[in-house]
Amino acid sequence: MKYNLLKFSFFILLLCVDSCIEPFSPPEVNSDEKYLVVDGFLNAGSDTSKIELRRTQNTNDGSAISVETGAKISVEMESGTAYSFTEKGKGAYFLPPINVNLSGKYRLRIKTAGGKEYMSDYVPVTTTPPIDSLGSVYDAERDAMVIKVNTHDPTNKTRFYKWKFEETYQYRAAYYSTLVIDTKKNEIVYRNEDINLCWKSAFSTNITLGSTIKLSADAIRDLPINVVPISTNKFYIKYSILVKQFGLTQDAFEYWTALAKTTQGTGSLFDPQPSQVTGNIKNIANPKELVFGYFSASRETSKRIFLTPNRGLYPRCDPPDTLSVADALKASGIMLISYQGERMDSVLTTSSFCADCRAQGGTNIRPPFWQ
Amino acid sequence: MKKLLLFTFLFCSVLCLQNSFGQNVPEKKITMRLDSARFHDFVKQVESQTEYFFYYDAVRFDSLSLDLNVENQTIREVLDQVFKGSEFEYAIDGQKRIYITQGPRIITQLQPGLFDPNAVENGAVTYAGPEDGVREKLLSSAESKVHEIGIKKTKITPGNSTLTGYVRNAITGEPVIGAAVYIESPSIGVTTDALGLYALSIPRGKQLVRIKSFGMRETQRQVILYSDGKLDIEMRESVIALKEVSVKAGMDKNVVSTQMGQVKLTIKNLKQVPTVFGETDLLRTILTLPGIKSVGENSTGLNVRGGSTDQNLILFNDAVIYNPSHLFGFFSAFNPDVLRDVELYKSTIPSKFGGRLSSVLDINSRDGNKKKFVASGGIGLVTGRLTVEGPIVKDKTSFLLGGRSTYSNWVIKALDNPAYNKSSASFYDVNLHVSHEINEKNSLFLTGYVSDDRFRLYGDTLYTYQNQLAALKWKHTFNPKLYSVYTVSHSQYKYSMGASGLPLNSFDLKFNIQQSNFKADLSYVIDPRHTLDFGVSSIYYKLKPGTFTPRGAESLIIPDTLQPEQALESAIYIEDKFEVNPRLSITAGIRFSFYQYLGPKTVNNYLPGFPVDYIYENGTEKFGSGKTIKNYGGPEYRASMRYSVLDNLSLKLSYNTLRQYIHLLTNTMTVSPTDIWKLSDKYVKPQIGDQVSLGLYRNFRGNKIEVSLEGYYKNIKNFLDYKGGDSLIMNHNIEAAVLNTKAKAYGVEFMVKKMTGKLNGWLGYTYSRTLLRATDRESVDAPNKGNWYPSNYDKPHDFTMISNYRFSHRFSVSLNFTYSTGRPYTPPIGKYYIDGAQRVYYADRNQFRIPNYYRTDLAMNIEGNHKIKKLAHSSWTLAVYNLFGRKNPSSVYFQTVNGQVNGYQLSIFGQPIPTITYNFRF
Repeated sequence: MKYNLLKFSFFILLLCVDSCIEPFSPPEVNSDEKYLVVDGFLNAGSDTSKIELRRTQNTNDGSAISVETGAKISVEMESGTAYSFTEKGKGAYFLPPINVNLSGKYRLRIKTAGGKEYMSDYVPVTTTPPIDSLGSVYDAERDAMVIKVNTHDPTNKTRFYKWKFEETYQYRAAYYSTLVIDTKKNEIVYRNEDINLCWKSAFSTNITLGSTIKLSADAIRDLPINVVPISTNKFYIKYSILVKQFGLTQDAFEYWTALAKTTQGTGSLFDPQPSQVTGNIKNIANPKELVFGYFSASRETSKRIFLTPNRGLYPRCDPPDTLSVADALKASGIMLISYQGERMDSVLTTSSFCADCRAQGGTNIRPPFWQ
Repeated sequence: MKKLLLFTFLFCSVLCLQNSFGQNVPEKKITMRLDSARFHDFVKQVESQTEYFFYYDAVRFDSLSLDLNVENQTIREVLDQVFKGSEFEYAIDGQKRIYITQGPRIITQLQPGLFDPNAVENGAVTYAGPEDGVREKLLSSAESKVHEIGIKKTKITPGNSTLTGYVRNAITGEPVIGAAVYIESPSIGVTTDALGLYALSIPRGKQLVRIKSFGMRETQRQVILYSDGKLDIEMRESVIALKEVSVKAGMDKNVVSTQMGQVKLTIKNLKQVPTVFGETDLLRTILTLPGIKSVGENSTGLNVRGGSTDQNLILFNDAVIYNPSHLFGFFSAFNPDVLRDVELYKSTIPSKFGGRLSSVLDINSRDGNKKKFVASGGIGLVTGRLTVEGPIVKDKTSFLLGGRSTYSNWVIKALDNPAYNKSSASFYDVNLHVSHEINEKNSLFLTGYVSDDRFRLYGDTLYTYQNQLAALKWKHTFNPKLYSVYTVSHSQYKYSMGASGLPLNSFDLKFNIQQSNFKADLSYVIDPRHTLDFGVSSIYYKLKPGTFTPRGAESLIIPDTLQPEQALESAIYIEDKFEVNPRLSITAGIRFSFYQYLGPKTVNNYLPGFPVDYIYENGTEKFGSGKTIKNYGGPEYRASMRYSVLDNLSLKLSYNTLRQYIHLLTNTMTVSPTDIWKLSDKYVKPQIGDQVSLGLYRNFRGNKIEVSLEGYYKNIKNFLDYKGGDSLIMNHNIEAAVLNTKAKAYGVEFMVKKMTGKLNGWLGYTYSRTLLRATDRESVDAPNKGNWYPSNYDKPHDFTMISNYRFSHRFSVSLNFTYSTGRPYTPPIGKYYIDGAQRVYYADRNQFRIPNYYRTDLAMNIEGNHKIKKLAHSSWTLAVYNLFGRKNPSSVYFQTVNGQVNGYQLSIFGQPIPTITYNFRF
């Protein structure tokens, strides 16, 4: 639908004869102001809380994400008790588990190295019930596995939920490399490390939210939180997903809903009007300064499942080349698979993509949680 | 005044008549040579050579230059030679006085036997010419005839009686609208209504009724009014031109009427404004007036005084048109050949109109020619049009049939890019107007209109939309004081979008709205100072907000239908025009509108105490057919006042409230054909607007230059804006995607207008602001943290100059200039990383502006010769749109490429666009 609407705009283009589209970047639009971004929450459970501070960038800035270091972060109770975070590099600040008063209210205070002071609104602590179960089902129409979550709060207090997940899957490279060049000795030796089987992890990028406010019971049943197309080959060997669940306040829920709606697309001629979403954190001295992020105090509960539906295809690559041992020693950037047949004077070679699973972004170190 | 003087002369001459008889001295002969002499010199010479004395208005002879060579000729011979072929007439009385007049000749003798006592009983005082032949001729003309009105009495009792009748065009039989019908002493006047009807209440006895209308030859009727009666008046056009009947209200209407914020444009005005494709365009011309803006160049959506595009009631012969544009806004949906005039009300909205907040655009088509068959048309670069009209029953029934169509596909095909070749765009519209006069008291008018647009993009998506309407109007006069108009109409607007690019995803999307309308408008002249307008109206809406169906057998699209909506909107109104004294007049009215949103429908419920958002949807409630789901209603007040400070200076004040129950939902930056109309329902409340405006009007140079200054302040409750990021198409929770806002708009409009003379046109400057604020300021969806923000069409400064210089009757040049502040937009101003993904953040809504807009257009009109008898009257229009080729951005947009957000500006008419149009009439 949207696709068609976009195409509709070409109709206008078609009436202007040539080059009536020109780059447009008025200087005043990209301000040099780099606003503070606060990403994290107070963990009301028994885990460490983590807050990351970053800065916004210009829309056409191609450099790496800029982080805010050297800030002082603390959470304060209404009673005045304060707990300080400690910085552990790269703009990440940690607070060991504290004894959170579930009926109390907390706020975040940030003092940047530049001397600016920010504070969030007081937020109540939301409880999070444990995840009852995670399920998976194959959706034939989409040819995808759908991961679903079930939870319930017998006290009917949580009502608003947000989920994040971390998925990990095993995969193989197309060819098994048994040989490696010993560069010091300049000879071919047997490889004693398995670089055929890897694990790769990815974090959720979409904001997944759910609410039971319309229901008589605070229970979530089979809410899809991740849809994984079979074509990604994540389900060929083994797949695992760790789902983290957070209870939210209504305010936080509305913030994340608005953020999810607004930042998925960018403006074109027919796109809906964008709107600005900011959270509950403000500069004390200048409340009008933009600050991004929402501070909440919540428990995190999580659950992991392993799936072995064995769907997908074994990875394929072009047939290996045969090189003489001498040529293979001279060549660079190739992967040796094995000796060719019984003759020991030539080897099968291929690209690293086909024989080294790490080349596809994963690691061949077995994650500690892997079963 | 001048005429009065003439009568004084006449009276003098009557007294002297007796003395002059018998003085039969041989006349002195005249000999003179004049070369480019002024008339004044000629007079001097004649007066010195003879005993004749001239009476004339020197101003009128200013520009007359004479070449004369006479020898020994009589005064009559000389004068015949001088005035031959001119519009001047001379008359010589027995006292050797020469009266020179423009138009009718002065009659220097009284009717023989006038002073015979027996003849007095004949009643009428008549003037007769000296010769029998002339007398015959004069008597036969309506102007000189004395019309005896009412039941004849020998003694006229003092007091007032009402004279009513129609003013019509003598050639075509069309009613003359807005003609001023008045007497000078005492000064009493009225204007004719939309049917050419007037009702003039004047003292009984002998009266000289004058009739004036722009573009028509001024005329007068001598009446002796005994009691209430009827007098129909025919007027002749004063210009020899193509079928461009220019009808305009009294020249001093600007100052005299209580109406303010009202603009009337005739087809002649419209034709002066060059347009992008060379064709006269009603909506584009309207856009040049102060206080009226549009979002973009390619949009004919009108934003009147800070209102949104759906707040304009667009009536075509009293039936509503929902989409007044063709070809995605490049053309307006009205064929210029069938139009008579258009009236736009933006501050004082008469009580008989309602249902929209910002303005009423009242478009009227011409009546067909009642005397003979005429064809006219035009051929432009993109469109061609043809109109035929003529009598069905002579002087009683006439028809007017107009059609217009594009052959624009070649423009698209001519473009080099093969991608465009699969595209196509076309439209047509057809108008039929039949008027029938049953008898003096009853007339019928039938209007039919169909428009159709379709365009296909890259060969796979076909967009179509249609307007259809039919209206039947019956005009009935009960008596000279009370007349009525009844209208039944039905309008339909629908669009569809059919995508057939990918067989699996092919779909049809359809939208449809219909309204059936009945209204009765009555007008009652209580006495000369009070006129009462009252009436009722009722509209039944039936709306199908959307059906989404698979197209073709292979399509996997799941069919979806939004529930139909229906509603009844009724209103009753009464309004009194009260002329307190010649300086002060007041119009006050009240309209009570009542709205019912009707079943059958299943209505979404939302959790009480939570915002209306789809995340809080909670079950549904079913309503049966005809069941009222929600009622709205309330009074609307309309008041206006005019106070004449001086004869040509007046002050006007008006206050209005209006209610609107139907809304156009559009959350894209431009008006797109997939915008949907929505009826007020349980959640979408009616919009309520009130406006107060104050204006100062001054006419200069004998009403030739009109200057007006108007200021206004407007509040709108429940104005609709949209939450960020929600789609409106096929949305089952549409109420959750809209955002209630409060709007305030204010501005000052300044206009100088000169519509006569060689140089004519107007200058307009507007300063205006339109600001919105979310009703629920605390909501996360509230744009700009619940503060005021500019609307999409907030363009503070706006300047327009429309000028036309007539070099001769056949050649004129128009130069137009437009400037406006760039409209606001919301750019992405930064990006950040949060919760595992990159997000883009936008500036506060509408805090940035695209570059300012400037445009200059030039047009030349060349008319064929003005011989009355020839095969075809024709004219050429050569125009250049955007003469300097300024690349005005009509929109800006942003795209993410490789993690960077790039901005682009789109200018649609970024270079000079020359056009040529040929118009003809048989």
